[in-house]
Amino acid sequence: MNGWTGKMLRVNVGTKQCSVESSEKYFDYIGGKGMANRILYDEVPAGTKPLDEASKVVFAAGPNCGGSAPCSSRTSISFLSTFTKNNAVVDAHMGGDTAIMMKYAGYDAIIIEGKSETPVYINIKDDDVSVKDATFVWGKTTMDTVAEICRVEGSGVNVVTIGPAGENGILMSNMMNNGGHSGGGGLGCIMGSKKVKALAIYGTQAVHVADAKKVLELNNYVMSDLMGSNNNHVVPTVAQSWSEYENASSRWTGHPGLTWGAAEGGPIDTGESPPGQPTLMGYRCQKAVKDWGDVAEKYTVKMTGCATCPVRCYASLKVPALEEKTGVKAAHANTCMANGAYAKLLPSFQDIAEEGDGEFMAGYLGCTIADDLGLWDNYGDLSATLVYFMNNDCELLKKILPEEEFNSIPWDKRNAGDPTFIKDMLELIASNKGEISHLADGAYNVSERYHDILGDDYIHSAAMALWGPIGGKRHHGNECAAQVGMLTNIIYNRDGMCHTIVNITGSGLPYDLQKSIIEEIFGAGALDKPKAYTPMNENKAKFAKFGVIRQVIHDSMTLCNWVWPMTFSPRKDRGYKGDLSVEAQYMTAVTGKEWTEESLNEAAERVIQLQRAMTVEAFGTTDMRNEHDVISNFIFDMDPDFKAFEEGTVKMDRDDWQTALTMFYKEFGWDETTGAPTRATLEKFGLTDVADNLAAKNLLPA
Amino acid sequence: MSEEMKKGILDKEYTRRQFLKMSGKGLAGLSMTAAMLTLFGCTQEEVDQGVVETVALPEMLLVVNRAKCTGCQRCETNCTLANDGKAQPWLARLNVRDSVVFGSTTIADDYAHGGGFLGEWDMGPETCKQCKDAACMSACPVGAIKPDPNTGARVVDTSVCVGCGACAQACPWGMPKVDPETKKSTKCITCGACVSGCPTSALSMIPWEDVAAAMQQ
Repeated sequence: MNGWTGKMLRVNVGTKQCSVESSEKYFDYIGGKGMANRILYDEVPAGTKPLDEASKVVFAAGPNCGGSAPCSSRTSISFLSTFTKNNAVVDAHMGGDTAIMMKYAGYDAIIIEGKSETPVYINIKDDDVSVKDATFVWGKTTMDTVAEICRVEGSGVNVVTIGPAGENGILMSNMMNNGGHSGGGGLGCIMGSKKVKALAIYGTQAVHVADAKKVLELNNYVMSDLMGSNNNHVVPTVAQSWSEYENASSRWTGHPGLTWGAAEGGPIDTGESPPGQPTLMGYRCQKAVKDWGDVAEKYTVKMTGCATCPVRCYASLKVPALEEKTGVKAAHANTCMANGAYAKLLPSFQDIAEEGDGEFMAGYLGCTIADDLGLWDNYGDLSATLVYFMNNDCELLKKILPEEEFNSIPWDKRNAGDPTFIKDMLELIASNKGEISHLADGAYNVSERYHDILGDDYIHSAAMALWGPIGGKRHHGNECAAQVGMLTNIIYNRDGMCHTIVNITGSGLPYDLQKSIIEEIFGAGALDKPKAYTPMNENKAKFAKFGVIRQVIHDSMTLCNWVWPMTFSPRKDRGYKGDLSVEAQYMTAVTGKEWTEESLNEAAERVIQLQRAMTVEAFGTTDMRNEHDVISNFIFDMDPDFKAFEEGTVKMDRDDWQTALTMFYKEFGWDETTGAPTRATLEKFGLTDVADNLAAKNLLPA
Repeated sequence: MSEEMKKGILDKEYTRRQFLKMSGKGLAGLSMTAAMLTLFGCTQEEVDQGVVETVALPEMLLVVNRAKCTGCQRCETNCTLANDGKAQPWLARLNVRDSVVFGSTTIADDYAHGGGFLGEWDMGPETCKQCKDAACMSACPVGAIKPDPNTGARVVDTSVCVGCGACAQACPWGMPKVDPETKKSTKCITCGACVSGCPTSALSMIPWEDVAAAMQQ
């Protein structure tokens, strides 16, 4: 079999039974997220809560994973949300090496079910699978756990593990692999409830591809002609000898004079890495400097990242001065939000090694500690919530914490800007020993628990920046192509994590050039000028649908939607146009079956229709428009000096949003009043059984 | 074989010997010419710190710069796609996967200050050395491993190989692998697929002619 392994592994951690089944019946859902969602739909009864024994976790990778395509080692992990309204289905998308190891061990998916009485880890070495005692690592941090299990199982084993936060039942906890690669969504908490500390995976087998030569050609084509830097930013920050444009906000930060400053053997210049030179493209993304500024250059040993990814977006630092002062591990790597979120817990910053380096040091320390505890920040949700409660001399925190608990927190450290306050705070939260740990229940639960004192202000606030009151963070939304970016959020039961659109608007290309390429695909008016928005139109709805369809294709194949699709190119001789047929070309080359953009889109839309039906079922209503797809008030109320559609603001208009929903629903064939999938639409995608199930529960729109 | 070809081979072998004589057991401590540093894509400091390794292959010099290795493992998948028509890193003719987390296949007690993803980032592939007196070649009971007449690489003749695994057992670095599907041994043929797959040029292959020119500057 090519692409897929054709097998999935089922592990019941209660009975310790491990069995192998065919995965072929799920190929219509591509793999990864699609496969995992359908397995959950088939096997977890509606109404199950995430920590129930009947709750399951499905790790899955797609047919493309393991086959070497750039950025193809993302693991899709599907389960019931611990932290958003009604515990509807969510996916965690985890990088690192877990996905490829799972494929090389011979599995498209791993289903974890049941509950163990005692701590266990699941050991997978190809066909040799067992549930083993994990008492020796229970209570340990994520990185210590990886080391301890690898001492037993081998240095090359990929260990994906929960930390103390997951063990202690923190709703916003995750699993980590390779140090800084996180699978969030509350996954750690569910695994902790099952007493599963970790999966240890080592695979020696092949992922077969139908046409290896074609796969290698596609790899070279993508890396030479289409791919830029992280988020597929195709324009460098600094003009280079070959470049026509530059854009300071680009993630293509590498340029002559900017280095990996702490590289072994002296600084390595990131230099010029023009299109057409794939063996230099790993120098394009100097993410440490992007995330933290110039202060981080001298601590950058190199950039790392996920297996198969040539972009290398993980800022891999070594900060001995911080370790000397705080005892926190000197070397760690992560990217984006995780790198700086927890610095916000301090109102001011102590310098560590030089004047003005305190904020960087605090952010770096916070990221290292959170990752080691397996505490999930949810795109800044936890740090924003803590800050919200600590504002105004901890006014709200004093209201919710018993006095003794409040006084036990080392406020003197915070007042002094000491970064170890962050460590103390995160360890306290992860311990789940006090009321403060409930601030890591997720914004929806926080709002419900403390509604008497918060009212609706917190959940709808700009400070929290949720896409909507069901509790998902805005990631990305109205700041990104107006209604288009905002619409991509409502598909999900957590933060959307849809990068298809923001990769376009953030590409670095001039707006007029972006507009001409996007309008060629989606028609006039599809892409507004930043901060100069226009009312909703049908082409924006098509563009938004493209955004989520591509994301689902990537999460199912699997590819990284933080880089894919290749909408644009860094090459002037292509007119900066990318190639949206590449995913289908990979699917054909890998699986040997003929795939087109249309057939891939159709399969991805099947996954979205299923997920929407699962959401309707979880919410117990067809009225998605008013129960699920509601967006936060701050999106309409920001910038009070501006009206929506005036130049200078990204605020949106309430009536226009309702129009946007209607047009979006129409694109997906959903009932235009409620936003629920209709029988006709479900049947069109082969989901008759799903339609029958919804009908039996009176959950099909009239 | 023409006189010109013979002379070319002799020149390469002469350069290779000169380089080995100069580099001894490694580059560390060796004062490199500016031309050689440029050619190798490294600095004298990297050489002094031992992060640059060279393997004197028959046709060219393989340079491995651990400071530039970012652990993506594309070298391994490229190797097996090019040579085996499938993606199977375990079968790859170089190995980074087993050391990428800790920088080594040995896990230091103080792993946080060791190498790899959980340490301080030192990592890099172990590669086939194409040993002159190759243990894999000596161990093969049927003489299936021989120098390729064109490249000089020690290669497996799959029509002779019986898949016994003696080569894999004999190699101090465990480089040859018996493909469980074909039941034949596989090992490096110096094709360069790993080099072309590396997005940070941590691996490079340099023809001996270029090395000779740089050594003379």
